[in-house]
Amino acid sequence: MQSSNPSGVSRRTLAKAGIFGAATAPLLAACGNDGGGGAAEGDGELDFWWWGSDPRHEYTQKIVDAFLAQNDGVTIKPSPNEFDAYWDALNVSVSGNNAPDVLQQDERYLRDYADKNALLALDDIGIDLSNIEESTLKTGQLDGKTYGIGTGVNAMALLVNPALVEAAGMAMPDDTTWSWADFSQFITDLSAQGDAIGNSAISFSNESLFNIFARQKGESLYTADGKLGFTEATMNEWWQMVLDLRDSGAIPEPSKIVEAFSAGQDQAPLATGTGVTEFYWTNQIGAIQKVLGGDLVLLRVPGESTGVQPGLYLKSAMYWSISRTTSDQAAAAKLVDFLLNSDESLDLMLGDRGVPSNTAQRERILPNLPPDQKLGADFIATITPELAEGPPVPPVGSGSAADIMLGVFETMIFGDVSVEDSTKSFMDQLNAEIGA
Amino acid sequence: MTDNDVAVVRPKQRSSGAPPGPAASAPSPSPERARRRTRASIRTRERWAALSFLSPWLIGLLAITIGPMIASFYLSFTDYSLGYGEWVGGENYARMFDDPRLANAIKVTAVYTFVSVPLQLAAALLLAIVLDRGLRGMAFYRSIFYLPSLLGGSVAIAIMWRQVFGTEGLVNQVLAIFGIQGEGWVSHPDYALGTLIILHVWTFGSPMIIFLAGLRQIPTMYYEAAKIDGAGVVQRFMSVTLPLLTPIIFFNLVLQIINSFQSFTQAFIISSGKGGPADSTMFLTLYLYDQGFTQFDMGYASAIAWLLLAIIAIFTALNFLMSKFWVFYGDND
Repeated sequence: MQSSNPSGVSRRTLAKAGIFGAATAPLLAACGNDGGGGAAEGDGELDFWWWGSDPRHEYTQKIVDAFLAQNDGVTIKPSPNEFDAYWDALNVSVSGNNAPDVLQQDERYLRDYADKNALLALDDIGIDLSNIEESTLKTGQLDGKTYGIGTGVNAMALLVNPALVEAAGMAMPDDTTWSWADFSQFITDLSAQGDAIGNSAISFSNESLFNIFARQKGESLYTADGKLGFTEATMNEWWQMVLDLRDSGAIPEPSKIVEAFSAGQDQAPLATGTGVTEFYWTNQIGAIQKVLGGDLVLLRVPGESTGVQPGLYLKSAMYWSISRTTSDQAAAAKLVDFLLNSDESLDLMLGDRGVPSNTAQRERILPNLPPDQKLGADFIATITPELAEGPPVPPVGSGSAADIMLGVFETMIFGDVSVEDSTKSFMDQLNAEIGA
Repeated sequence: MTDNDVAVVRPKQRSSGAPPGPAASAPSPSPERARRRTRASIRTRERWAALSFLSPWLIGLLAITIGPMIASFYLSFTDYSLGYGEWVGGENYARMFDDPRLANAIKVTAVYTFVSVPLQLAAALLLAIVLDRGLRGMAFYRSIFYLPSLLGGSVAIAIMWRQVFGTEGLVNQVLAIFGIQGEGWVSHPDYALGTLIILHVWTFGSPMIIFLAGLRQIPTMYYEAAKIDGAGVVQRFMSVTLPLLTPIIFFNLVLQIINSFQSFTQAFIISSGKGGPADSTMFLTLYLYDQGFTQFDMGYASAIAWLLLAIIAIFTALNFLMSKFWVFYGDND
């Protein structure tokens, strides 16, 4: 160790302190929480996050490029992701005060994020909302402020593979009059007479489908004041129907249902041609038809005309939101405005994020939709006159309903618990989450 | 000052048995004091050198281990969620006593650990004894058996496992040859945990390597003596191999119990991150993840992390306590 300089040690110490300081500074900075709003005059650097599939990533990137061409001084860092990974990443980045500026939101989580003060109110920051449907706008509001603007609307439909119905020697049912009993009979016969399973049963754990079932009885999943809005009897009936379908062989054996569920949309029985029917949102049709390589027919959810009221409703496919901590509020607002209202954006987006909520744009692009998106758009156009008033916005904490329902469903179909206990378990768990 | 000086001073320091502590505190003649100061400054300098060489690791330890641990301990007393949290005292810990899913997660983790670890160690020991015989191509076999340990924690293997134990998977195809109609093993709540246990047992490679090293340490003269006394293969194993191997078994046991309590990847992939079907593969780590990242409840998730730490600490302590009764250190007598 050659060292004639007595200050050598201290120089090293300083250097080390510098390194250590550099390493810890971001940590310390992350601990500070200014609690202020987004910067109005910003740096023009936007993080833009969305989830989706490859085609969506490609056209969204083109929209971003079109936006940048018109807006000098703005740079955008796009982060496309896959749905599940998206929410983990978003949770982490928001928790670490590193939230993306502009982001896609979903009905399940929008209110959680808004309630935690992570999102910016979008009412008066220069986004043109004049053409956005009032009913869609309302679904993105909390306490009278808009935290997410619906990109477009979806409806739930029963997707049916007509080739497999024919192969089973059966006719298409009349979906304007059919009841849940008719549906049960239909898929039981399909399973018995054809090679493919009548229904893959991956939607009976979907809280939105159950909501439609409850609405047909004049109830709903949630009430307007954020409580559970259905009776035990309704949910018991729902679970009993599932068990009857399982016992009659209309749906696959339980472990195959679980397997199909975790395999994802592309590997689900409807897409692989091993299942005849399944419930999906209308903007999912294109992707499924592409994997299947054949055409699908859309039917109304059963029980629409046999209950107290129709249960179907139009759901906002997804939302555009801006983080409260955005580094450039003006640029972020401009981007959202561009996504919602510009011709360039909608010419590329078409119906992929739902039938556009911007009514002027909707009319403009409807004739240009590709065939698979047209199926969904036509379906929505047909059922819209029949619909009852939409369900109230779900309460904070409702994002966990899907996982809770899946857990209850899985436990039940393997025969471990009764219908009544399943209902009780679902209601107890969800009540705890929504604080009711 | 040269390297040589240091080398000379060092042994002196040791042999003189100089008391530790500040050199200046001892009253001594001035040349002696000067020498001591030099020695002290060398010590200081060496300490700094050591620290600076350690600094990459130290910074890592502080920034990505100690720091987050302190943060998580603090967060476990808050309702932190999406960037905001308030102090709630022991509420998160109190909540644990009224959480059936947490109780289930503890049960699942315990079953997983206490079934898979003994099986895995038994498999590792058995293979180690077989491989210890000096077969031809030993290095090759060792590598083959060690391979699963390297792969077992990977995402790819977990995905493969899902396929192998799926309804149409390899296992059922083999069963079909014997006319048995298999289940969808990973998607049935009664069997899903079993497939994870098999996966864990399969990764017996690293304890096996440690056992092999342990077996090499046992002097052959003990075996020769036992042979002369007329001990058979089983008796030689029970009376020579096993007792002399207990420190290694103990080491592997402690390590593997800690490891399996912390298991995450395999269950996460095989159950698509949900611990399903019906919470049957919901490990504590997975539940922690679910609470923190899916339910936005970082406070509660942090509390669960500390619960996990406490559980691991208790079992490790129990292990050490019980080791007195069965672990035999040859050099103690």
